[in-house]
Amino acid sequence: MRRPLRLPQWLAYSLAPVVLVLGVAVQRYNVAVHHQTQWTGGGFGMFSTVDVPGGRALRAYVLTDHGEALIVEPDFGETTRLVYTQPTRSRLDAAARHLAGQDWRVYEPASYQTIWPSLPDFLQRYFQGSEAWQAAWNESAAGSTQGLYPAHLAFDPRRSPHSGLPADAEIEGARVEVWRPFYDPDAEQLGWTLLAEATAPTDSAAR
Amino acid sequence: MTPTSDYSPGRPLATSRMRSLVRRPVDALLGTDLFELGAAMTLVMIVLSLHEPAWQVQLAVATLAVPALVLRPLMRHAWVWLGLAGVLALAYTQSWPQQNNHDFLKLYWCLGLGASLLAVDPAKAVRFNARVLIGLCFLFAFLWKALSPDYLSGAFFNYFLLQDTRFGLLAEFVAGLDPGALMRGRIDRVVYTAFGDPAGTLTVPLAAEARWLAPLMTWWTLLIEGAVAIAFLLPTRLRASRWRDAVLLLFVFSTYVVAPILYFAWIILAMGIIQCERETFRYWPGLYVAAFVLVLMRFYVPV
Repeated sequence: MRRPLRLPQWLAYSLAPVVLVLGVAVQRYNVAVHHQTQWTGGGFGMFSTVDVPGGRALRAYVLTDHGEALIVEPDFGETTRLVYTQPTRSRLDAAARHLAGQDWRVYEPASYQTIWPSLPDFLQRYFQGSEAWQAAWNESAAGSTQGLYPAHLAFDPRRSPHSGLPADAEIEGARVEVWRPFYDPDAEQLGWTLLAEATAPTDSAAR
Repeated sequence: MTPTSDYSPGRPLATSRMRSLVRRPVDALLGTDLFELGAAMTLVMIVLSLHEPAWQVQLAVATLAVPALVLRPLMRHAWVWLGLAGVLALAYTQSWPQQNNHDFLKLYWCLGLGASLLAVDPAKAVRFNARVLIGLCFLFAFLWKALSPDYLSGAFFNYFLLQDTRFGLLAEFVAGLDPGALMRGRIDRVVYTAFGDPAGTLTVPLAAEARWLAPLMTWWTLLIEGAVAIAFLLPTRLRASRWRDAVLLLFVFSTYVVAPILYFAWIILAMGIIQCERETFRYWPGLYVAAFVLVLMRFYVPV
């Protein structure tokens, strides 16, 4: 009769704890080197920092001869959350290259009110809540939008507004940025620091 | 009418029946095999918490976990648990950095159960692995907090009290903050995070009535997590180790009943039940089950 398989005592008692400690070490390395958020990844760093993945600000811009245009709801496919949680150089480069290889419709601030119905709810709410934008629009023709954010908007042609004409801008490339949040309780301010960024030229600009 | 076994002369029959109704489930619980109870809780949690999109992963987990839940010999079979650990590890390879900590803990726990069931004394090994995994998990949670400037400055709980809906109960009912203002603040933060200038800042004002709560939560959490880590990592021959179940249950009652974090609480309680010793206090299993029911109620019943 075959003897049942038995693990040596030390292995049965240490396998899982050692794997746990190794998992924590890998996560700690990723936090230190690859900007991994300490909330996830197996290091048990949850509830220790305001740097929660969903609190990170991911920005993607189309670079044009008119200036930078903020991409509205960029689509990175399945890698989106990984770009937030662990924005490694290779992931950001891939995201920037992916965006630089697409067509874009760029809209200038003068057309924001024309394309208003096509803007996502949260973007409308941002403009409504921004005193600077409201002041600029209330001053009508005399109002300047210089220095306001976002200076331009970029849409994927499949989701671009039906109203309003896109600017005649030449696309030169794309940039992706990941910003890490911090909170200053004394000043009661939530802010972000730039964690990582990557830029990629379009094929025509690269040539 | 024949009196029940709980009937004693001089005691009203209705009272005896009531006691019998309460005593039967309590006696049943006191006599339950703790390995089977903890293992069943783990299997149900693994099935319910699975959010891997790949159908192959879902099928493999269901194929291993569901029969083991129904058939006791399978529940005690090491390869079922090692198989589950393997499937989970494969499923996480593509999404490792974004995987939540309870996902990793259930993977380590399956590995611990599998390895323990291949030991010479499986019951002893299972209890050891449960104890050490809980201890290590709390040790690293404690260290991350103790090393985080965000946490030690009080910024974390100041901010999360306002922004995380899981702390809504505390913010509204303990600190007395206005629910409408809290909701508007959360939406403003999400909107700004999505479209605002990240080089700028957003004002997130903390109400004066909540200022006492954040330091209390900061230091209580650090203290209780440190205490759980020490109690579970101490050798069991030391007297202080006997307090471990009380400390863990205090953590669960003070944390997960306040903030509904279901799956982490679930796996911690499953491991807690398996390692607890009836010899030191016969009601530990009952208290773990009560804590589990409260955690479930806190998660599913809207407050």
